[in-house]
Amino acid sequence: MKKKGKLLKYIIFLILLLTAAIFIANCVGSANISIKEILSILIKKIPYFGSSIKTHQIVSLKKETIITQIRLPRIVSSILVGFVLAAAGVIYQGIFRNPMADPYIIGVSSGASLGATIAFFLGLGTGLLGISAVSIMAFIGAIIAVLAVYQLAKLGERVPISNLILAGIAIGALINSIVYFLLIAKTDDMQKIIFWMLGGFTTANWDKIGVLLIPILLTFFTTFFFLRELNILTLGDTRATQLGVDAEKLRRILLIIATLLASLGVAIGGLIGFIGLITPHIMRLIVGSDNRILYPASALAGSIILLFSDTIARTIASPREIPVGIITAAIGAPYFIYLMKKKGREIFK
Amino acid sequence: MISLKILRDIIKSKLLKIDIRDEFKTLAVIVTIFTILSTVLFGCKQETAVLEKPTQITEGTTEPTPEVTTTEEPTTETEEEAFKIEYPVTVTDDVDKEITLTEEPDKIISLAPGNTEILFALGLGEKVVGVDNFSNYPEEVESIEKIGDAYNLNMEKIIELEPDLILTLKGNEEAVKEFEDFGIAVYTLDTNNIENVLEDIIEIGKLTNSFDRSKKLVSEMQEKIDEIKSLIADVSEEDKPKVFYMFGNEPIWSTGSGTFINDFIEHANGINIVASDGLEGWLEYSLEKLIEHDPDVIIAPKFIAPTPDTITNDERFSSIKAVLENRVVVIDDDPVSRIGPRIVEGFKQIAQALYPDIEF
Repeated sequence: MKKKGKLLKYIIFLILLLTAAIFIANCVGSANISIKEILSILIKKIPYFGSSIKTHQIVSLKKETIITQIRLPRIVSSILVGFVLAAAGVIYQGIFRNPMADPYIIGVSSGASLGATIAFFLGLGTGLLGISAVSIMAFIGAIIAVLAVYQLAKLGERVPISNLILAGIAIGALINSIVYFLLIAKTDDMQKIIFWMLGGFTTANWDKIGVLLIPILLTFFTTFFFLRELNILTLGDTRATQLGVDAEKLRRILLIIATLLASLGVAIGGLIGFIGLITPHIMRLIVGSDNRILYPASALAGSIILLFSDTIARTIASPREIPVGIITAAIGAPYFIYLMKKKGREIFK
Repeated sequence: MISLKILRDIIKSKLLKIDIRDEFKTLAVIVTIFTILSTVLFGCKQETAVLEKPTQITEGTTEPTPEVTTTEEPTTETEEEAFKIEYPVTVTDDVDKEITLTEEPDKIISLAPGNTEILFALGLGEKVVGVDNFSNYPEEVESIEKIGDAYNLNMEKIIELEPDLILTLKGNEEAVKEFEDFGIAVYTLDTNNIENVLEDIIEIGKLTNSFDRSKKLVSEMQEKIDEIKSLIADVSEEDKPKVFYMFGNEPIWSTGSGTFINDFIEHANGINIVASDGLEGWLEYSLEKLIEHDPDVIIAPKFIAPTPDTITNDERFSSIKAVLENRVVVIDDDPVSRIGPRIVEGFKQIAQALYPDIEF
């Protein structure tokens, strides 16, 4: 029961923090829109009641468009991406028992870049259901790359972790060389591809969010069935087997889940680095390494950090935009180092 | 008030067993430092941008007077009289470097498409022995040896071709130094306005013993530019269209002051909204701000938008005036990006985009 109480407290606190962050993010931006106007726009949008509440504030359609079609989808996108990348990071670090593991370690990023590059290369413009062909191809590319790595790492029935990591590095290098070759071969698209690789939320829209939200939540909550086993898995395969956990099978399931999560994130925001690696470590220092708490707490923290970073990215040099990756690293890295020094203990055991 | 108190109590009553406040304090400090740093960084940059904003070129009628600083410059020279260059010739390029040629160059290499176009327009096509991979105009270029591109030069090939003169754009300093060590003269172009290009053409004319040709070319170009400008000369400040040049749509990129595009827009009596924000150079731009500015015209090069549909069908832009009024114009990128004789064409495209009712 103690664990449940602790979990609840952390989650409530993080949700409050996230709510506050959403509110702040919604109130700042390049366009000059007052908080009053923003509030009245938001109130108007509350389903069922909204239209009946009088706000005494006339807001131009333009401002409404900026808030509802640009700022809000961007906020929601960054929350979702931070959420899935940090969640995937916890799983990857757990199954690899390696602090360097992140959602991109075994092929998601290189596979996604190849998929996106091919989409640009073939000039595939419109995709399906409001999702661009580039996002769809990135998603497919990521999944295929991970599957390839998994197959290559397989030794009969077993899939040793070290083989997985090394196969991931090899396949990643191979795919990257193909991507760079394609870039050089067709320089017209180079700029677009490089921007996509940098990641970001400037093309956020509700269609994409609408389609991807359900798969994200389903995948995310499926993990909860395996978190206790994930804890056991971190003790090592031998110990896990003694405790009745089929390490190979569990690893396979979790790998699929984490890859799905990361690929969904990549489909929304491109290759956003650092969040998936560092958020789980930050949360490990705060909530401890019990995955049952660490997993949901990291996901929420990932949302907060990425939302926060993206808000800074779009406001700090406004109306210029700064790539969000610069901000996540500039804030996340020193904070992480501070925590590490302060706690004065080994982070990853 | 009561709820606030409860909230505070909840946090206070060691809801979280660890002392979380300290950690968040540090986070706040880091964020603050970061914010201040970046504000200082970007703030300063913007300030200088305003200060250094290139002085507006006064009415375009000013004939670019070539300062013939060659040592052998004859003092009496009439329009009709063919001007004979006597070597050695010394000119100064855009990076303020003096280039001296002791004899007329026989083999010339161009490292940028615009440079190639200048050489051909001066009738020097025969002498061009090598061009960069992107050079594709005029057609004759096809048969000339390709020597790589600005960031990936085939040094062996270039040295093997034994050029007397190399034309390059700024940004290639290491290679330039190497060429000079081999005793090859290098003329560097670095320009962001029409006037400067005309000057460069004259200087290159002097270096290559085609001064006459270059003067003729420049006055023709100037004439066409002046003609375009005269058609829109009486547009009042309020009637100037607000323009957004979309150099990238995912994410959105544009240009502030200090670039060729901005010079075109200003000369064509348009207001570049990004420059009006006090920004300089190529940059990623806020979508929110773009919608707030609500430009009258959106111009995009072909490689971003093959047709205006790419932009007009994009939901993000659907509320912008330029989209609603069907004033999204796609232009051919080469004439606006290649710093050479075709800038006149580029300027015309921009002017036409801003004033569709006038026939240029």
